[in-house]
Amino acid sequence: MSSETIRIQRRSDGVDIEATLLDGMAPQDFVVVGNEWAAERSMVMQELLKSAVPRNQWPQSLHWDWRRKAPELTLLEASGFGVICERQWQGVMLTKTASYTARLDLDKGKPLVYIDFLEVAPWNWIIPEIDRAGRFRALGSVLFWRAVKQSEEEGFRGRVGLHALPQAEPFYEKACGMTSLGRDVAKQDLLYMELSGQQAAKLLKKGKTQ
Amino acid sequence: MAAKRTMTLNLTDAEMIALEELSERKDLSKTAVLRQALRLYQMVDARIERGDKLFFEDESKAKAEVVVL
Amino acid sequence: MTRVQNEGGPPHDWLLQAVDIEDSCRSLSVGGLASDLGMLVSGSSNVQPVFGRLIEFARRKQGLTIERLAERADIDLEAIVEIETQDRVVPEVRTVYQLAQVLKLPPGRLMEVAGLATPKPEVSRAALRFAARSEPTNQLSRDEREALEEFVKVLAESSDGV
Repeated sequence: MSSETIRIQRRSDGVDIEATLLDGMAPQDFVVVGNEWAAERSMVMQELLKSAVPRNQWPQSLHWDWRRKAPELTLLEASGFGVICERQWQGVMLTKTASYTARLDLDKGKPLVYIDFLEVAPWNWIIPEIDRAGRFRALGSVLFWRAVKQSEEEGFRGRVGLHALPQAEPFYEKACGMTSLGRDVAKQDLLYMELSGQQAAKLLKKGKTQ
Repeated sequence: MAAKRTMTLNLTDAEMIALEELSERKDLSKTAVLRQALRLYQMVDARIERGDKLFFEDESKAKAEVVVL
Repeated sequence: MTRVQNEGGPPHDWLLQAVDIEDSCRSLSVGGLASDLGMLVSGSSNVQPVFGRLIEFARRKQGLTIERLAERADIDLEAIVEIETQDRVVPEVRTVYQLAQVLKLPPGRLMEVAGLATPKPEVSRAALRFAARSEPTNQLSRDEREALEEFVKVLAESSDGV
């Protein structure tokens, strides 16, 4: 297991708070995440119901349960990453390195880091209809960047692939610069997106110029 | 990344050629190719142990071949 | 296990623009909608619409009010009202498990009826038969009671003790 110190912004006062970005999460960590987040999911759901927010505007991962993903972490190809701040898991990601290969023409068949699951803690969700502003910012960005870095460390040149939930598509396309490769029937019609080695180099280089 | 240990691997010429070809095609070091192979083998084996079946499908998706490991 | 501590994080300039886009999205989530982690897609299951009716009937059979059931199962009242009154509710795993305990139904099969697991064919068939014979009313008619009993019997028989 290794970790690095990062800073994430607390929304309430705009202050950057020290957080830990961990890799090598254990199956029991996913169980803790599942347990810790379950009560908050339930509260969000009740608030959504009370305020009669239409179902199609509910956060699309509202009913996920990370406990069910815990066994996956026993596989060599799987890695769990998470951000801890104020002694709570603020965002979690499960990546795989062997099950999927690149689909973009230039990289076709080459290995990539596939983001199997990525989610931000429910108390960090922004849901204006129920006055939820989210506690910490940037968790999705931090985790995505970590996946690109993992890909570089693995010798995959930063290539990353994922199937985004519809509500998350703009983020991966616009913020992360991923290329959309169409809907995937085998994956519940979710949009498959990929970051090429070239696109990744741009993202990783940005850091070196500052 | 986790700490690593080194081992010597004895391969035949044919195996070494295959490894080099894969390394070239997949744009990976030889170590990375073998690491990928191990991950894949373990994943497939775990799923078969669980009772899943592994299929290969041709382009037309017409033929499916069951693979046994 | 050794822990390596490094200073790090994403490049500042990239993060600045990424975060604004992140804030404009309702969700950042990556992964399966339905099958893998339990989120339901409308129309993903043909047994799920009978879940609410099954819960309602099983509750009434035990002579429990919704309030009483909520109390015993340690579930929020609203969650049960929603389950019983709406066609496609998305119950939580814990809710289903707690309901199974109080209503004495096999939890594994109840997960299938709730749409949280792929239903076995016999559960699907039994759910359809149950749906065809039951209507929500205040008191269970004889036929409804029979329909409920038959459904519960199939659930219990196909239970593998999960």
